[in-house]
Amino acid sequence: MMFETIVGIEIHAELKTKNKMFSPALNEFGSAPNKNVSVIDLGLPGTLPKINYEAIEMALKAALALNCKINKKMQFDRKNYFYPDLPKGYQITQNETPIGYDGFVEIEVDGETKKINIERIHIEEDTCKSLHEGDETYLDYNRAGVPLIEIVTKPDIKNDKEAILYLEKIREILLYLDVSDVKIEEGSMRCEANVSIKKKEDLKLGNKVEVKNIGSISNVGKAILFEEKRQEKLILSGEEIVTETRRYDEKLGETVLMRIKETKNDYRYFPEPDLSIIMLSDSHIEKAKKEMPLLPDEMRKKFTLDGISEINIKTIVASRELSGYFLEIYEQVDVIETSKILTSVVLKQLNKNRKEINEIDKEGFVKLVNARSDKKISSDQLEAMFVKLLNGEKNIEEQIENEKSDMLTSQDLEKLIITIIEQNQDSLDKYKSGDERVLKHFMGLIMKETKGKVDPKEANKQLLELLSKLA
Amino acid sequence: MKNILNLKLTEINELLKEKKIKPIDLVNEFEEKALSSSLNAFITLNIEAAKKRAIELEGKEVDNLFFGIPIVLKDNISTKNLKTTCASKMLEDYIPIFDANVVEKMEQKNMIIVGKTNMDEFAMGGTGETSYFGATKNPIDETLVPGGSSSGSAVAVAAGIVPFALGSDTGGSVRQPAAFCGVVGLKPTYGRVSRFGLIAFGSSLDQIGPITRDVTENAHLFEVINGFSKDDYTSADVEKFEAKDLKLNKKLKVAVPKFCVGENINDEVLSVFLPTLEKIKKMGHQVDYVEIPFLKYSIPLYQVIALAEASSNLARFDGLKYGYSPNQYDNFDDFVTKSRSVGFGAEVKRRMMVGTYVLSSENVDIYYKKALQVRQELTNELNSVYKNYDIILSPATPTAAFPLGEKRKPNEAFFDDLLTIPFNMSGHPSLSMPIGKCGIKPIGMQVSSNYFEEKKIYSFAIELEKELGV
Amino acid sequence: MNIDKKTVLHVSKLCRIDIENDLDKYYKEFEAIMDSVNEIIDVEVTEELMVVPNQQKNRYFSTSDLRISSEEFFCDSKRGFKVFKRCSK
Repeated sequence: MMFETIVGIEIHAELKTKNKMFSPALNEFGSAPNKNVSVIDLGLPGTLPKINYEAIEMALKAALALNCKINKKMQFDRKNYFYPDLPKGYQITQNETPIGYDGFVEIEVDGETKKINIERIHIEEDTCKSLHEGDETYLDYNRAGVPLIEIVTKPDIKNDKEAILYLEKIREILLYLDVSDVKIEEGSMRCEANVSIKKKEDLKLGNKVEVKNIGSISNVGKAILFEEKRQEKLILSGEEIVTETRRYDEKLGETVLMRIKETKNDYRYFPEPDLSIIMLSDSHIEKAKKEMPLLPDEMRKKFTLDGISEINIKTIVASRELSGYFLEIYEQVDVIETSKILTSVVLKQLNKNRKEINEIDKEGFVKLVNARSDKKISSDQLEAMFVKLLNGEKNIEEQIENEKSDMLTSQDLEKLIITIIEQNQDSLDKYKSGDERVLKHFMGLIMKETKGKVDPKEANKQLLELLSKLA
Repeated sequence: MKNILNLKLTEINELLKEKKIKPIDLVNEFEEKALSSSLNAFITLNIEAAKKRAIELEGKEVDNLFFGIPIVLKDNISTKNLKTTCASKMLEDYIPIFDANVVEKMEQKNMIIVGKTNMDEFAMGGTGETSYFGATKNPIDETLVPGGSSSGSAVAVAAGIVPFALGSDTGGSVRQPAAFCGVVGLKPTYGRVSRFGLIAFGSSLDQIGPITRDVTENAHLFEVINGFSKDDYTSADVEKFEAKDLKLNKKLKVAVPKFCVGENINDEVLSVFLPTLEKIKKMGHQVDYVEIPFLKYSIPLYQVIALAEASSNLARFDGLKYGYSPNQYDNFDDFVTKSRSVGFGAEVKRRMMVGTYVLSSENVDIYYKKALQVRQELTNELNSVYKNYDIILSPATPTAAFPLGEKRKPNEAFFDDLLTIPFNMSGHPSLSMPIGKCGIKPIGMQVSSNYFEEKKIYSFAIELEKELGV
Repeated sequence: MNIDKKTVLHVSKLCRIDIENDLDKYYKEFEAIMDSVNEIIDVEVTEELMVVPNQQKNRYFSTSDLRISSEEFFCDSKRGFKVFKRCSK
């Protein structure tokens, strides 16, 4: 029997604002418990929320990046329920007017572009963190009130692979927008998958099973695969799929029942009477657009057009810092040569020296890569000088001059090679007749004549070019 | 000197300035009066801290009218290090760690907070009888209700225990007890007094208001507590009210809604209100009867909007961080249910259940959203009256004070606020002032104006007060 | 709208109030209040909703003005804020 799977995904991402969503307490990961807490976060009686515009701006950028329509008149709503981690007995969220709706992202599935539709993206506050120790429960309110965006897809995802691609895409976009750390292990990104299956010939979808607490993107894929199998088995044995909430147990590699939804949760949403409404003007939106960086998809398109190799594009785009650095010097360098340098020498040395790309002086780096693309220096020299630059060498220009004075320019080298070839007509003849051993002989002569002041790789390359012209 | 607190504010201020009395004398007098009172007006007396404060003030210059003046606050206004119970078992031992914005404002004027007053539990009730700490009695006649929910605040002022009090008004909770006790109470324009620190009942309706012996002093106290607040996003960024030039420079156009003198209004009330209207006409003001059809939906509007908001606002009382909590329980839900079932009184439970019901997903459109629309319609009607009229006058309450302990149906508990609710719905300012008595029972008149026109209300009320000689 | 006891019981559970021993009493009171609340159902209105009078627009904070922190509240908690003992039940 053939089955079809339908998955909808909900992502919660914490925004990396300075302050919390509705209070001026700091939004800081890793502080001592209950350090970043105001009376507002505790929901003490008589306290009233405030609105952090930085969070609205970040959410707006995310909504724009996900190609959403924007609700220009927004309100906040209360979602009422009781839970130990919910200080006020309600969560302030956006029910009626999510900041963004009807958006989409594109993923590449087996070489084909597929659109995943985004139903909505809205702003809400995080709850506090519960810690269980023995039979005691402790609450850490540092997380209470941290701004979150929730991104909800339409049920457009067909399998685990698409789910993973979608999640990686969202993660990459939020990372590039610099609005979230999107670290699943730290909880700044959380994923839930709603999985339902049906027999291919059936029109109606089976009941939806919600899988929560999934600890990594790859586990989302595993959880979906597990659910597919579990639900298939149930259907095949004539049982009904129950609407329920499960969690993914990493050790077992299985989803485990959390609770069965007997009745629909009644959250009793209503407009938050303690907050002002927010009117997003065109200028708010324009400003957000202007501040948005080039996003990965656009970047990939640009790099491809400019002739950068696919593998190098992948490496560069994988790092927001690296690609950002590249874009900043993009107009001043030979981009193909630079992409090669960035993905080889630079990454290697950064790793080795435990440094960040942004620590490298841009001006010096531009001079260095330009010296290399003008063949003024060899790749070995480039690497050596890059290490100096990394260690704070200020005068890279002088360094290049010093090295260069020892080196033959590529024009001089060309002249020299032509002379050598002309003086060794018999060797040239041998080469023409297919004897490649003479190459070594020529190289020996070149190195001897230049007293080693030449990049052997470069010399070899030029020699081959000239020989092939003559042959 | 005896009974200094019964003097006018300006007179007390003079005595302080001339150093004939000290702030501590005022606190001592308050203590004596409060302790000997049998009215149950207070939940917490703040004597020790107040005396300490009074002594600190001795070294300071008397720099304003309210310097060293004692005041009492309704027990739903948060006071740092001073119990704030909302007259509920739930918060019997709750001590806030911060001051309400209004408290800060009073402290800036060096006023002395001497006590927290009794009230209906979580401000839910119109008689003062739903308090966990027992009913407050009306000083006019201890067998009568004082009105509510700011029962203790109105009583403390009416009984002469203290000249100033703050209450809160969600559907009439300042104006109605003021009327029943024969004192002056204002519900300011929504947004004019910061709600930060006021333990919320109906967030879109609540305003803190002053309760005083006369209109002028009310205006002075309102000057102290009003003003924009960055802690309250519903606070209005308008010019601060100042209690000066409170004089009418023209005759007013006065509207009296027919509904407010209609079949719902008790004869006791009309017997004082209607002659007052005649006097107002004689004073040269133009008085017209007007139709405001949506006034008749006041009570259902209140029952839906106030109770819906309350059901959410009171959800935070789960016993976890503060408040009543049980010793034995099975799990979290049981813990919360026990906290709330024991911690809240019957009126609060009833109201939260109604509020929960009208917000539930199948009812939210037919009740809650509908009510938000009706509220807008009512507001539109009132606004159109203010296009042609300066003020709207009505009795403050449909009846005068009635006996304590009277058996009433659950729905009748809302009836006392019939005439005051509309202005909470629309957000307009409205003042209740005594205009005379029916037998021994005080009768209050409600004076309401367009948004932020408290000055007009006070100016008219001062003129009328003089005319009536009350 | 007709309300039955089951509905009242359900509502009480939603707001975590145990009324089972007084269900009859609460049911009667609830019904009485709803009689009056129901008056609102058939009122003819326009489409506007009013959330708060004098509704403010676009008010935000953008500084870290932490006027009131809750240090005192947590003065003796290192690991977190102890909430309650969970029971295995």
